[in-house]
Amino acid sequence: MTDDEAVRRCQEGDREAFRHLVEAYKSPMYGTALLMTGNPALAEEHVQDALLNAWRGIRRFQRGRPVKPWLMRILVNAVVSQQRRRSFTTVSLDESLPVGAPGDDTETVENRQVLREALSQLSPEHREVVVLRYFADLSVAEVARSTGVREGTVKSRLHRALRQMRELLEQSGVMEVAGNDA
Amino acid sequence: MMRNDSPDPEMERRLRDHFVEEAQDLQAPDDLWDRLESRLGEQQAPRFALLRGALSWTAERPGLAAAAAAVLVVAIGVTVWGLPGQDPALDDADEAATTAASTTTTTATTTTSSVGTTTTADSDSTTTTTQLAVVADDDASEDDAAGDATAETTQSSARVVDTPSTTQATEPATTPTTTPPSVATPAPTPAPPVVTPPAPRADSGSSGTSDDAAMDDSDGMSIADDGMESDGMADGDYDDPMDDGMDADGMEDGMDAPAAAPSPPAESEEPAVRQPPPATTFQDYERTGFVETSVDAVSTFSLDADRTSYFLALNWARNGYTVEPDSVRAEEWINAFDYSYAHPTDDRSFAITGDVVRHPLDADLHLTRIAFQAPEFRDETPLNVTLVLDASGSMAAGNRVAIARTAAEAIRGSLGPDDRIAVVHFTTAVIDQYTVEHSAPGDEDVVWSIGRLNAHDSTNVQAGLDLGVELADAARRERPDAFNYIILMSDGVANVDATDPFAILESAEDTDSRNPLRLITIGVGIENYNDYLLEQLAQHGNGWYRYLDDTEQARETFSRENWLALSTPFADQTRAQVTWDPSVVRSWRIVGYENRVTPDHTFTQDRKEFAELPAGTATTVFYELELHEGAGIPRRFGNVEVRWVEPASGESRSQTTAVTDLAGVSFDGRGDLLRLGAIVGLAADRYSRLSTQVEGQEVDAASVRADLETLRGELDALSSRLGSTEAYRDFAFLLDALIEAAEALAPASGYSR
Repeated sequence: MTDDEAVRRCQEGDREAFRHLVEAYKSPMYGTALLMTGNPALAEEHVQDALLNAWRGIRRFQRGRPVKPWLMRILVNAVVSQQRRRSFTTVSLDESLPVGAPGDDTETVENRQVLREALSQLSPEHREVVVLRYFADLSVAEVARSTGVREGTVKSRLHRALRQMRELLEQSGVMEVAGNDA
Repeated sequence: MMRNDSPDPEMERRLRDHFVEEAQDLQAPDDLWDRLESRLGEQQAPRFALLRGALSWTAERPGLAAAAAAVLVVAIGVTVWGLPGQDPALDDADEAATTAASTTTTTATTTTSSVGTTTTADSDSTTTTTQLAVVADDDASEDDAAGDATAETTQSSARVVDTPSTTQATEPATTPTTTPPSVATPAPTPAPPVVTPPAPRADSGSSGTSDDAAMDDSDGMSIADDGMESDGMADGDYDDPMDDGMDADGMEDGMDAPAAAPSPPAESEEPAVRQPPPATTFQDYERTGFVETSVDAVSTFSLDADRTSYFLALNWARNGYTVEPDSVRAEEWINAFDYSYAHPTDDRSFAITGDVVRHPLDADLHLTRIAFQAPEFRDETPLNVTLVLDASGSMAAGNRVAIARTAAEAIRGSLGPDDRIAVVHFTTAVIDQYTVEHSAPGDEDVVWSIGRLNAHDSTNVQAGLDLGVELADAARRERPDAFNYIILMSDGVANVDATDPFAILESAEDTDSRNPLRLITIGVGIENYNDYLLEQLAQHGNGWYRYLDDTEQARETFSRENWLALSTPFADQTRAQVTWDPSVVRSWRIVGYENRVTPDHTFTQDRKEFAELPAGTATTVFYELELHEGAGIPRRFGNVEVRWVEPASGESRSQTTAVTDLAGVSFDGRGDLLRLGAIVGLAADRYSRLSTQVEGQEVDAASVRADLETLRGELDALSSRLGSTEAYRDFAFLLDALIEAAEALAPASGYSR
């Protein structure tokens, strides 16, 4: 079933078609929420809330448009509005994710740790665009639509986030110091 | 400073690889669907069945930009302060609603009028009857003449109210039939128009204020960034004027997936974008949509005498902020203005008026205005007042403490010798040494305590209200014949103990419903402000909610004359139900009232979340109507019934009136104040559609902007008669700010008209 077909059937009230969309996109949504919040329980709550809202709003969804950015936008709204409403403390990603499977190469595990640490040190706005761009694999335009800011702002945030992460990785020796000041 | 930096492809690759490696740990739980499905089952089962009718209605109209949207039904099923749990199961009919951006409908042209009145008796309540004011005009020229006659006298009538007007009839309440709109008598308090320039105020936020610091802390935003963001640019801006200087050339190709999106316009070509105030909290409510009368002819809602949303928006615009669309509650904008309705002839009834006029934004629609005017009277009942004052650190920003102290002192000074007043200060906990139990208003301890208000540590609203309720309850037991008010003054930024309004209310529960404690919330502040908390505390705490933006307004709002009116309750738990005639009205949509709409079956229940109205207040509601073609003339559009509990007697009362009027009267053929109210309500309603919190809703910003510009033109048409009033000038300024913001607040692009 294509996404478009699933949307059409959802708009007629077909719950199985909605399940098709949920299964297709639940992991990128959950991963995004987890990376944004650092809290598995909260991440699932956000994903569920977002999917409920999507089901409620799918009648208004214009067929032919890509589904994933739409779902991501709903998800980001859910996460951000919750962050605005609560005094929000970000759980360290180190605490919430398992560190490597048995038998993993030690150096890889260390690198992953450093990258997680670098991600967790980004501001929420910067982490949000990094996750949507490189984990959820949205285009800059789609990230802009998902977060409600302009494309120029997304690019600026990505640029600064990457620079900050590079600096952290360089300091920790995971990346070689670049030959210029980029 | 580096400009045109290259992207960092190596860092990008590392990140992508990292996420691939992490993918296993970021997998959604296998049973997510199972848990989700149970929630879908709770909420969604009836919706699609009910929507079929609505969808078939929209399907006949290919021009509709938006299809069905559910009417919000407030379904907060909690028990607070004696509030009965609300049935979460919504009325079927209330769920079926459609939103139409444009509709094809009939055009009605009629030139006669009549009045209709019906009365129904409530078996367990006293019933009174009021004849609906119907104004009908035989032709436009007669209206013009009426309008001209009104011109000179209404100039001071279009003022923003903080107290009930003492003016008598301007727009007719019980005038039978063919009378043109009656002429206003001048409002009694024509304060000289003061144009407030949109200049920054003391509480305005620029980077570096304590509000900003508070926001940064709470958000954990303490990044060591490059020089760009430290150049005074707050992180998290909607817009960063430096962006394109850095990115436009170098970033575009490398950062974007190839051909993923068109190049953005150079930012220098875009207008400067204002920002919403930071760290503010609002609740966005789902838009109401058009409802076919064949599906549901009944609309039930709580009345609302609050007007905070309007003054909050005005204050933001004056301070250079964008108005948060989430914060806009159209009913509070409408009710911020004084329309000088006729007052009822007795002290136990409302004067209910109804008017129908062509819609200024859509030639195929009509607007109906229904107004409920409470009587103006004085009550000798003494008062027990408990001031609960926020002395937390966030109150240090701007002039919040000064406003709260001024308001507290004004209230104290407005009390009579038989009244009693207590004072509680709270920060992280109650400041015991400042607590004064109920005493005479002139007691020196009271004066001293109010004067000690200052800003300290964290905010524990719960602790403050817990003690406030305890003191108020003790005073009530001691003086059972007094009315009881608890007045909370705060920015709402609760961060210690309970921070949710319902948890706070549950903690400070009022167990005596016969003579309730009435919780009035007074908001102060611009940034770092929690509108949601303060509004909900008042709505579910048997009270009302005001916003004060300076000490002058604080003094004026609680002047003795105003306080006497505000502190005299006329109606508790007030709600209305409109039943449209399906043979005349094809579909209807309520403007605003999103969080006041309530399931039809609750109409017969006295519920605490329904509105408490002080004496003399007026509530106005507008409906957008699609009429059937060829309906008879004159028309009886339906009935409106209002129900309430009389505070002094505890008696349930109701009053019913027919909505009868002409159709087809042009917008400029009606009175100035009706038109002003329609413009205000529609502007708020359309602007609130820009909310980015409405999940899944595509925002047609261009359409919103076009509507706002049309409304600006309609407002201009009133300038010769109302333009000298402060209220008109304030609103014109605010409307311009909305127009400016309309595009900037919308999602970037990609949505068609």
